[in-house]
Amino acid sequence: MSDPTATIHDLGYRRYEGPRDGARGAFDALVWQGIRTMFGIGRPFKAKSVPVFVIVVTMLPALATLTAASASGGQMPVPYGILIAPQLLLFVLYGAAQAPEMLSRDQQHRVLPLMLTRDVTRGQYASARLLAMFTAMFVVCLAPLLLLYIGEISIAKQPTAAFARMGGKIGPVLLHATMTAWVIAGVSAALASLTARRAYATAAVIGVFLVVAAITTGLNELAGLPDGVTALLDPIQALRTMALMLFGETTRGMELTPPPPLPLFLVVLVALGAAGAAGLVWRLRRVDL
Amino acid sequence: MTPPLLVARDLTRRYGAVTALDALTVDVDAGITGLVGANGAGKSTFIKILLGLVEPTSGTAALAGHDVCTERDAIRALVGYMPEHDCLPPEMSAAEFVTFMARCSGLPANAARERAAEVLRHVGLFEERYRPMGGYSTGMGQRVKLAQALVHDPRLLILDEPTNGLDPAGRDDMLALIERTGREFGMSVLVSSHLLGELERIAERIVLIEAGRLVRAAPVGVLTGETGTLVVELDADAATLDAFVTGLASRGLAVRLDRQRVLVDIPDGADPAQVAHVHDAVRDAAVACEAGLLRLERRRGHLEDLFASAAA
Amino acid sequence: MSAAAVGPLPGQAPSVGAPPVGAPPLVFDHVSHWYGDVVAVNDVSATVEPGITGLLGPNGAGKSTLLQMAAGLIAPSSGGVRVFGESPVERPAIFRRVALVPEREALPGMLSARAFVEARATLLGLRDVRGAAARALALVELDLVADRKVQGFSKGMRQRTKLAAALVHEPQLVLLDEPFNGLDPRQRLQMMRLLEARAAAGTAVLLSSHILEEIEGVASRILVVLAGRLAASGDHRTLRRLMTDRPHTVRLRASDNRALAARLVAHPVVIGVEVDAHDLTVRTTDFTAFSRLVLRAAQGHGAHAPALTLYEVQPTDESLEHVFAYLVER
Repeated sequence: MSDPTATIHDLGYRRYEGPRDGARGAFDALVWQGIRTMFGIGRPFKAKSVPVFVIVVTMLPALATLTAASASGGQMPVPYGILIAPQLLLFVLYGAAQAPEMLSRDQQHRVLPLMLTRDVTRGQYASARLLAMFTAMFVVCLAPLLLLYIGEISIAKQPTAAFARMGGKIGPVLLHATMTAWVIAGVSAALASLTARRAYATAAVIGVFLVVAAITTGLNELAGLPDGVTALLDPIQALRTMALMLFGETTRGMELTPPPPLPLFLVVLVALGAAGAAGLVWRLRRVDL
Repeated sequence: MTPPLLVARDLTRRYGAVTALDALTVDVDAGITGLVGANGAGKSTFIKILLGLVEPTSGTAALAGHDVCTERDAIRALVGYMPEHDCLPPEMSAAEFVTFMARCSGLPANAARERAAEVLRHVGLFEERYRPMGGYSTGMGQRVKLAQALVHDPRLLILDEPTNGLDPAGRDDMLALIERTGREFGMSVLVSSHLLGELERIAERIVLIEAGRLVRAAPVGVLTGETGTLVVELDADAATLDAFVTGLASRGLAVRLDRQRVLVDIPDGADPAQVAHVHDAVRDAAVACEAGLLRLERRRGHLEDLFASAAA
Repeated sequence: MSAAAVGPLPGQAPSVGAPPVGAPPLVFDHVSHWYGDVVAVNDVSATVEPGITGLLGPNGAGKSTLLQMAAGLIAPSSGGVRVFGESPVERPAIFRRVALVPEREALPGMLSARAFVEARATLLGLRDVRGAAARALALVELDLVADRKVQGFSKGMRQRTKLAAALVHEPQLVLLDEPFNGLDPRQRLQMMRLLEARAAAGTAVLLSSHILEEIEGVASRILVVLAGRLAASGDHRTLRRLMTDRPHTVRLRASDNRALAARLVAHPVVIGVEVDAHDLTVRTTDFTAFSRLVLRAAQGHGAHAPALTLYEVQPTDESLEHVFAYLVER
């Protein structure tokens, strides 16, 4: 008896006739995958350890300050610049740890040639990686400052008045996070793209930042280079000084020798990040498959 | 006649003083084609040009009518590549990796996931597809490489040494999979390989490249066709073999011994009756010597013969 | 020898007495080797004579370990290895008669081929270092390019350089681990010819591979190793005939297939007959008996069974692949 409801389905190979988003879709996929890699999402715990560590540790001082400030009844000032200054090294650490995952790994496992046979050009690959790194770093650099900002408004006795008074601080908060992320992402991405060995890349990033700091300190103390100039030469110091200036805070050193004007800092940092980005693109254009 | 799938005309690529491809001109039809040539003969350069990874110095190449240089985007969607080298990130699973590759080819997220799942089923990876690839055997890794080459539904699949590192059973499986891909999936396949025996099994035609130029392009059947020599293997000791050879020679046949095999020449232009006569002579001589007949066949050409003369 | 073994200095007599006359080049006697829990080689007994022997098996089957034991680089965990009658472990005099070309051996790129081979000759304590190196390089046909740096060499040329270094002391036992890896067909043929020439000159060559096709053409004897055990040894065609528990499949084409089929099916050694458009496929339990049966059946017998012409008789499962697949299944 033939049963009209019984069928054997054809599970043979089917052609794909659907939409192809081309380079746009590929770019988006690369960026999203990059952001996931930056936070270790979808990976075992080990891959998340550095991102989580950095986020938690940079948020703690902000949290502590807010707690103390709220206990003091809003009398204690909340110093953004002074708080963020020591966190900069942790952000560098984050960049040093994750940039290799973004760039060295694809070279090490030779996935790059495969991607290039698809809708991804070398330039697009570089931009996608940089964008993912920048975005993730921006979030991480922003977190402590944003916490301070929201916290400061919340703990005030009259939040609306507080917002009216200091709401404008959101500008400097965003600006500083952007500059920090831009510089660290640009430089660490460029360095990481030079090697397929992740350990070397991490060491290179940390090394470069430390060496530059050491050289500028040396130039400052031994060669007598003025503080203003060294503050521009060393990116960490630049970011530190810029933070203080943005939030209207000063140190003794700054009172003795006034730092260069803020726009100069912006120009130097933007240029440095751009140099990193250009280096990244240049390197990826030339890497042999 | 369907137009050829791949057309190359005077395709040249120079790297400084080195000419990797020298005015290569070849037509490749749809179907399964074997690409052979010595190391450094220009095969990888040719493949890289087809994939859009390298630009030719001069000359043209077109795939399904699309020029390889000017219509790169169209070409990318049409070509799938299975590289010889390892390319699987160990911490990713096969499902993730193939899905990601599909997205890099522009497939939307849901379609990418579905195609990846389908294609992994076709290559025979089931639950293992969710495990990190670091723990995969060579065979599983090769299957994933094939899957990512198929996932965006290309028209031409380029496979570079697909059985690399596989043991004999794994080789058989991979070759069967490639044949299925070529015959059932309606895709053309270009296999670059040093293992000529494998190509004899699955390829329909062979393209031989030497010093950047085309040396030979012919159907496998032509290259492995019958020759005019009859090969006879007997179950007999040395003395019996000699008696057999003598017996045949005495009947006027051109016969010689090659290790344990007896080779009998069939004269050029022999008509069926004459051919039958030779076969019957062999039969009768074997019976007369009380030997057993283990093998009787026309000697066939081997792809290796393309290289043998040059290696001498 | 790839180990930095130093033999007697020029002018010195070897320190060990002459090995027994007529001892086979290589004997594995119930050899096993384990690394912790991993048993790489499990009770292997085999003899390697002059000529080319292929050591065949999947990756990880124990081939490299066997070769290293034969070279004396590692000692067996149990059982004995004898090279020309003596154990090769830490015996410099034996090193002189053996050479090992390992799968992965980094060639120092900055050296010329000649320098590399001469260095090997010096390490082995040969008297005429330049002459021996020149002869070895000529053997592998690198004499014209011997003074070029190795880093500019193709894969095939590098393999030949390693082979020259291995042959510089004219060893009587040459061990090669995956020597055809990555070679193109021409380079492979050339390497095969070199090895065949050595074998013809009386050297025992043992080479390993996991690619059947490579071994089939060159080895007269094969040793099949599976998961550390020796699964089979011998000529692969003869091995097939030993696989008596598996019926042979033979394809036939005659002037009248059906008539031939009818005559064959009557005999007890024929257990299956299949006729299709072109051929006749027969399954038989005794290939040797069948080889005679088919001739008699074709010759026929008088008017009722006229003679038939046999056009093709082809055993379809005698290839090394089939033998191998059978062995794996056991």
